[in-house]
Amino acid sequence: MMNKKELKGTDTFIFHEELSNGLNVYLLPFPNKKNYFMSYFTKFGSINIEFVPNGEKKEIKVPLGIAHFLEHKMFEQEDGEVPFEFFAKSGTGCNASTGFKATRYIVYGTNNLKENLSYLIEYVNSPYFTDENVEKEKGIIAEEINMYDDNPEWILTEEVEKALFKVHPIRNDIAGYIDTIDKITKEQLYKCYNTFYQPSNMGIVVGGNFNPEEIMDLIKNHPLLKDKKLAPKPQIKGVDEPIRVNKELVEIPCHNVASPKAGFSIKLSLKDIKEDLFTYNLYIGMILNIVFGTSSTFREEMMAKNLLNSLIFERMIVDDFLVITFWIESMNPKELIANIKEEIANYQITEEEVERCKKVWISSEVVMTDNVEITVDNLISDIMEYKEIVPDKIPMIRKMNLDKLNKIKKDLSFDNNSTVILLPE
Amino acid sequence: MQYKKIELGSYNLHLIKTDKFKTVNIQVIFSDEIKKEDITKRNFLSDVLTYSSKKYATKKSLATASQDLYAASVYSTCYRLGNYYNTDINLYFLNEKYTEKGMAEKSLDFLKEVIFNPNVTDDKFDATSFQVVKNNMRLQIESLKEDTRKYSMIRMLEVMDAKMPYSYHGFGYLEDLEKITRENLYEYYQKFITTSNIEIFVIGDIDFQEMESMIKEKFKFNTYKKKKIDPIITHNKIRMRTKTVIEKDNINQAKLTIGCKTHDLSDFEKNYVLTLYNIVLGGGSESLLFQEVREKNSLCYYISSTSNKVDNLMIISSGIASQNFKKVISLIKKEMKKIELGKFDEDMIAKAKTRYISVLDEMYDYPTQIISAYYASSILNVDIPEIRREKIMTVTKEDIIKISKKVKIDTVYLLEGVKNDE
Repeated sequence: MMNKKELKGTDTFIFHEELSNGLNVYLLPFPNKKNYFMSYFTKFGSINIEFVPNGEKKEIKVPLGIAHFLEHKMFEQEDGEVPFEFFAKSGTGCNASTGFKATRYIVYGTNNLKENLSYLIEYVNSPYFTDENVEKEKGIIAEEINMYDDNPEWILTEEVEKALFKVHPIRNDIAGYIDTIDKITKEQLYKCYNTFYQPSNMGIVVGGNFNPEEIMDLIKNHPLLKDKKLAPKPQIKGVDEPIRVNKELVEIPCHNVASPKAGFSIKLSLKDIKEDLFTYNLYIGMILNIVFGTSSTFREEMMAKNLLNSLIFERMIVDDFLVITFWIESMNPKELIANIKEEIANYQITEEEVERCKKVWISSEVVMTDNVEITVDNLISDIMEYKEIVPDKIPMIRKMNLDKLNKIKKDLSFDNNSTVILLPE
Repeated sequence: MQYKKIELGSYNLHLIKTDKFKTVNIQVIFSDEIKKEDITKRNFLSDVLTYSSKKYATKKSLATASQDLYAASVYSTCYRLGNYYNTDINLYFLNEKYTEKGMAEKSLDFLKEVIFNPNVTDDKFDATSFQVVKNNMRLQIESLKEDTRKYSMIRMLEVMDAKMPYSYHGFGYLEDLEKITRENLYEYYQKFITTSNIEIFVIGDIDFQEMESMIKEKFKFNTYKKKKIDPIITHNKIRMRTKTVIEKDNINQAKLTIGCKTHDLSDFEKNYVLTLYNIVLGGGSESLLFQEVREKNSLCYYISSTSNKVDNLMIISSGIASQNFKKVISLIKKEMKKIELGKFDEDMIAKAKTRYISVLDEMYDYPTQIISAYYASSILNVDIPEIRREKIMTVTKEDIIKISKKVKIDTVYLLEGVKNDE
């Protein structure tokens, strides 16, 4: 049965059902929008490289970059008409992207929602890999890798993961490397596909102006889905990642860098936290926003001293770790990072700052729901990070308080950190 | 959706009422004829105005004030539009339904403070704000080369004709940055506020009368009328032979940018035929260029074309391996020739039309895009969306073949990657 939940405080509703084959479907009606945005995703990303293929017993290791390669190859169809052509007929856009943990196939437009949704399901469920079409893709992906390799932000991201993690496959580039993609075969692609592209490992999120019952029926009765059985959960090799960061300081001269860039990251173990993951993450985010955000004293002082040009921070959950990264542009990143370290050792937060931060966050939750694409994307991120959607975000934000923050702060240490600096060559 | 335009002498006020959004968006557009030497100064001003104000004299106090208004956000952007250089100062805030009564007026006061009450003492901008903005701008200009695709685009346009406004880029120029002082920036502010052509747009679930009186009361510009110039750029010369320039850089992937000039286009061709021609040639994944260069020949990851009717240009851009340069050029020429000879499916035009209408429909879901559409129809010779839907359908294959002969490759620029050769 489909159940209805409200994204509280935003006048937005979500209809959810887990089908008998394990597929999770989330539908978000937006009654006054013309556009729609849909995302069909699998929990298969660049970090899943050692696993037991569906129907086999022995663990295999596949070449780095295979999830991304597979994403490209899903656009190949046996009958000739490729997805781009199909969607173009109704003026609809389509695309796909691969991350560390998931691959997403998206469709967005204003016409033919049902036909397009049906086709999205059809093409993602119709793999067609041949020696020729696999070979053809290698040149295209090589150029994609070359493109990223000239992008300083991209290089920095990779180096930050390498400095943080010693053994975890997140150390590797999402797209792989020219020599690893060269080894990819159609047999390996089918093994990945048959293991990770099972309904029970996937989800569909649709946002737009539609009747949720009709759309749910369409998905349930889709010829390529309705007879699918519940598949076993993919067995992915666990990683024994040490808590300590891999390297505390990395400095690299890099081509195509005009001004220094740095990543300062903190690796927090989630093993002993006392709160649920969502609440914990929320409070960490609040501390960062108050201490380093746009209205912080720290930011203003550092800008006035010409130590800071740009400072953006983000959080990411990787297995049992919460990683906080500060992305920095500064003429003197080392000194700025020394200041950040001092600040995180000594900061104090007031009641007033907590209340102000809550106001801003609640506002941004509401603003977000004016945009179909962002709402759908955020929902998928929540599913990936917290295994389920979080409809009570606004009430949870409202409940946040200084006491709780100070309790979390007391157990919090930012000492396990690493610094990566990219310098002009 | 209801629309009302009010001419107030020193500016035009455009009000758009719709219940589709949870926010109210306000855009104040300051427009002027572009002058290369003013670009950097104007960017500087736009940044410094949103950094601090007289009442909120530090970044922290300005940011705090914005957060207290439930994250009412003021931000500014500068961009070139043909012969114009525009500065938009924008505000958006949540509808009072989601916040509290009185927030709309307070948010407007906040925008007013940013525009009319700059952080100036003794005719000089505040020293700290000035220095921070200057540091950031210098870094931005110096990092320009890091985005090789953008850099290749800028270089191509400079090679095409460094005297034409389309070659002026919005990052600003270091030599101009050094000339800016706290004093002359304030002089420029006074000129900016009194001589720009100003349009104000408000969109959201608003009451026309209430909003009109609030804006009139708070936004009192004293601009004097200037003769408006045509935003559309017309080319002085069309090259008979393509100009090709290759420059080397220490990068992996070569960046190819091809500039094509369009000339003698009628309004219908500019607004409709050119758009469809561009979609068919390189507008998306089903386009001729994508299919031929990427899908059939595996020579690139991305290739696309964009048309710009205000600049009378169409630009093709791709990332390739240096050694494939000649091959890629000849494939692109082959595809362009195909259109000239009519050797493409009628079906592609139908798809392009559907895409055009879909993009048009989607516009109604984004407040800033609705504003852009109304702005475009007020300054360029562009039809309103309802008419555009009808006219696009009348474009024929012959129209596209005809326009393809008026799109000439003028400049080919390659930023060559030498890193892989090491």
